[in-house]
Amino acid sequence: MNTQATKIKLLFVDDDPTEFDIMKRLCRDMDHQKIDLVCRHSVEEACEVLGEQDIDMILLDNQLMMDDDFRSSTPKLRAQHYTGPIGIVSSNVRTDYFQDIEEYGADFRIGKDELDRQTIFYIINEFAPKNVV
Amino acid sequence: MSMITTDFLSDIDNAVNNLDFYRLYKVMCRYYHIDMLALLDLNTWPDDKNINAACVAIDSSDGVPANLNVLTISEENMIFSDVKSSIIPKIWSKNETAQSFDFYEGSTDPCAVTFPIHSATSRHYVLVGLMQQSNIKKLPLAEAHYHSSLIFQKYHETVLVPSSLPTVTPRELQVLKWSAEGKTSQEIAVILSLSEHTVNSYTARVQQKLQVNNRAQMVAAAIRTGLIQ
Repeated sequence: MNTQATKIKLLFVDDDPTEFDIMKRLCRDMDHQKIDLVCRHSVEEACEVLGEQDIDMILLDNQLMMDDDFRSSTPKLRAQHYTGPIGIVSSNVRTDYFQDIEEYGADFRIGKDELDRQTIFYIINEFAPKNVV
Repeated sequence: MSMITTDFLSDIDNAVNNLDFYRLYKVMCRYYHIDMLALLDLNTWPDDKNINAACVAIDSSDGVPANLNVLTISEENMIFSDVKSSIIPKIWSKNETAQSFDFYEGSTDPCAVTFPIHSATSRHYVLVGLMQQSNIKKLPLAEAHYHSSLIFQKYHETVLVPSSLPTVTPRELQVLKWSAEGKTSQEIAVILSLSEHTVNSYTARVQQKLQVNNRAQMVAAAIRTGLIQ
């Protein structure tokens, strides 16, 4: 792990505003890690962000209102030529189709109840580029 | 409690990357009330004082302790010296733990539990847990050892030494072919609609399977073995 403070821009896509509040709480005041959090409600809005900003990592809710699941939503994000990591957040990550996650362009799965500061820190270290502040 | 066990055991087969195994070790932390679990590679210790942590899972309110990925351990370290030549799990007292884990800045005065693990390829690891004394008294040592072995077995064959797998997967072959065309990881990521991280993971796995150290050697070895033309 890096002991120096690093900063990343994280795009969080979820159709439930409550999840935004939870994520904001998790991401603030983290030692060693500054997170610039961008929240959007849909894949379409997320695609717009990808055209406007440099995003280091995306956390994507598995079942958004307008999309079936990550198998349809992740390719839309990849179609924007985004090559950073995409993590799928779900209340149930044990469904069999998650084994094919890489085939659809996603990098990892994580349960909503598994997300805490230590896990977010681990995920950033494992998947996202490290930009020392 | 038993439901958590069933859940995490059933998820072992679905684990495909480092994060999945971090998740499994974290569930194990919660189930057994362990503050921190670290899977450490002992193969070059004590010749090399630095021990690499394959995975560190923390389930503690103390926040995120820095820099546990590489531990510098002297050869006089009592616990590590014992583990290096042992095959049985062991619980260590507060005093013994404090002497051997002076680098840990987490919960106050933990006790340690160690699970020595030997892989099928004779590599030597140890899973170290740090936990409160009140919890360690209730720890079912044999059951925890069994669970740690199950997770490790899958971790070893899936992530740590994937070269033990016999073949190159279709995705790995695609990455190999585009590498042979001179494409960078980012270019391959765009072509295959993957992340650069995933492309680099595939590249690393192919290099391990072909027992080479860089992309040029990987392409040359793939041509020699007939994987690509």
